Amino acid sequence: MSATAEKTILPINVGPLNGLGSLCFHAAKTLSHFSDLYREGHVPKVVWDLRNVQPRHMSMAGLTAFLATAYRLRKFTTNAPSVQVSWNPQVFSFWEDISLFRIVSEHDIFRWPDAVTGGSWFGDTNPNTELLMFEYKEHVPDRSDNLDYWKTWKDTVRQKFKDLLLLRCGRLFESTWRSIDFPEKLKDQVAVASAELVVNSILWGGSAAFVGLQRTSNGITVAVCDSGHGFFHSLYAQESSKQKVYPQNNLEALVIGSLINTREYGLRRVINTVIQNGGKVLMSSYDSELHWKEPLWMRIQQATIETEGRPVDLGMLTQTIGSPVTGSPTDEDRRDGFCRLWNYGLRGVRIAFEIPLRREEQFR
Amino acid sequence: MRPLPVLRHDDFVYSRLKALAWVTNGTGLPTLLQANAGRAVAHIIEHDEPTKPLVLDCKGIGEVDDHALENARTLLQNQQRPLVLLNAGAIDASIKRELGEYSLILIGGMPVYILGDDTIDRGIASRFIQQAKEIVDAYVATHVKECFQKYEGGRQRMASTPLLASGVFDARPLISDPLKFVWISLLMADGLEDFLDRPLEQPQSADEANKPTRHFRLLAVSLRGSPLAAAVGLLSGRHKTIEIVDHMGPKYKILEEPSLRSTAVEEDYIYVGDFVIGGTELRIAQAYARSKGSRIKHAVVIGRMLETAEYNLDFDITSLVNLHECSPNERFVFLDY
Repeated sequence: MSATAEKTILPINVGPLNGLGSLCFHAAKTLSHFSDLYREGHVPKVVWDLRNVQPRHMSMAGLTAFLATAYRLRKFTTNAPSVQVSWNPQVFSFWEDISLFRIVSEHDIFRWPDAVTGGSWFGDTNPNTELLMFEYKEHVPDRSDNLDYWKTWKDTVRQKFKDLLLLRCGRLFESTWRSIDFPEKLKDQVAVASAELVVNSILWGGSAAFVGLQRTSNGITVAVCDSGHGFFHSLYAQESSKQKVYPQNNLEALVIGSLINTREYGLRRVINTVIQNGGKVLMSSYDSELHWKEPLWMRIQQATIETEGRPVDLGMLTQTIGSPVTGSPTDEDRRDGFCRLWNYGLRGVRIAFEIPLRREEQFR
Repeated sequence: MRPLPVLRHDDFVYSRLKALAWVTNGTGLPTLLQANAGRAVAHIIEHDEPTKPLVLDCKGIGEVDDHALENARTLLQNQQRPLVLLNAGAIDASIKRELGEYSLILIGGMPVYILGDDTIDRGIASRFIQQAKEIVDAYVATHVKECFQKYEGGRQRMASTPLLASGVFDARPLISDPLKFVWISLLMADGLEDFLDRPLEQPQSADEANKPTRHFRLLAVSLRGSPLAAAVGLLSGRHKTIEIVDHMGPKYKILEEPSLRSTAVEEDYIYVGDFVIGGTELRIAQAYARSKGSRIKHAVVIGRMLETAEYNLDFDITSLVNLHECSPNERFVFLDY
């Protein structure tokens, strides 16, 4: 069945982009519809509807996830989708300052209205925010071919990403009058954590990674998003001898993915580091969302320890996580951590973490 | 593998992880031990006098990347080479994860991790620590001594100070040799960190004038001091504004006069320089800091000729070596004599 020309117009409303959940809530159903149409042989003309975004209310995680999704969708459209925006120079300045226009243009992800790209929006709206895209175009080695080469490859990719991170975002880690006096520690942790997530996107997701960083007076937020295979599929694809259990759904895949490394490397280390710093980690893959905060992470760690020596009881772990919240999470959920399921999911993996900054007065 | 910063003692081989991290990965993440630095450690284990214990000082390293020391672990086990880690408290979890089981001894408040050899006890470890310090001091003293260039034809007036000298200390051989520069900068950065850590160790310090400050600027006022200030700043895990006033001292030849226009500086200064003989450059820097409404709180230099008190300054000087001890036969006297 050959795909028909772009006759159907499919507007996709991405909502206000004020969080990962918001993007999922607004866009996932329409994206699912796009997939159905494509499978039936149609190639609808997509129009990204960004009219609901508001200045100062966009989340880096939401924006990064949107970019990863749009990048994926572009592979299935004949021409770059167009965009609908409300005329707001403040929003355009922000997008200019965080490199959104540049990344979108360089990779032909979608087409801005001429009136937007024709303007000059340098505004220094938020110099403490940056978007990066990390793409690996060469052959990704397989672990089973040559383990040593594979390890060296991982180190090299990590190193490349760290270099890019420092080149483009080094200023985000500089201490200020009122912030921490050990910025190197934070820089190391963010570099290690985000490099790990980027390598995972390339290696297991088979996709380019989009990274958003934002430094505020309260902390530093990093979002790493891809539109790759997702946790569920990659856990089956890994065929690691260390892996004893396999997930039945995306939520279980997120739980296993968080805990699979018993030597506390990789993603588990990322979560540990963030939680130890008083931060939080949000993981999302397809229809599942998992919010790690210290109480929930401690509970799940304890449950893992209790099963040491025996095969992990996945049922017990998901029971420890608790039932998915319906509707908005309560204050208690937000404080302790929670999971959530959406009716329609977004392809790939989205991981966002936030590390609070210790302010000077906290040293005294 | 490029030349690595390694010092050799009759009984062991010594290096600093931070120096290896710098040489292999640059100064972008100076407190993170990454895979390339791990390979450098593995290279030393395999090729550098493999029959002797390896002593690695981890001071200044705060994080270890995943699997960075995996090769090192394999080689240590294969070669049965003992490894002694000094100042590794900050990466305790990483050591266990990356290198396996260890025995821990506390020596003078410093956690010492010993891997692979039960015969290294507290006494031997203490001796290693002392001897490591001695070979580092000897390394610096030897190379500082090489910096002394005798004047031809006897004593001459020094360029900066009205002193007759039999020669001059020129830091160029230290700055232009990558390995020497790494060691010197690292030790100067240690000096800076030690000064900045003082309030944590002595919170009741009564000497308010010399109380270290959280916010500071590194100040270099000479051609030789500039790369040292840059390196110390990059290696220090602190707030790091670096201010360089080219050719203010010891030979005054400011090329960019507008840079001197007074703009108030709210931070305190910490001076970084090469050698202090008569203290002229320090006084120029002090006057400059005053003109900015600030003050110099501390100085970190490679070497000084006199004791700090003899310079009659209102701040301390951290110096890697005493120049007089490096070159006891050289003389610096006032012109009148």
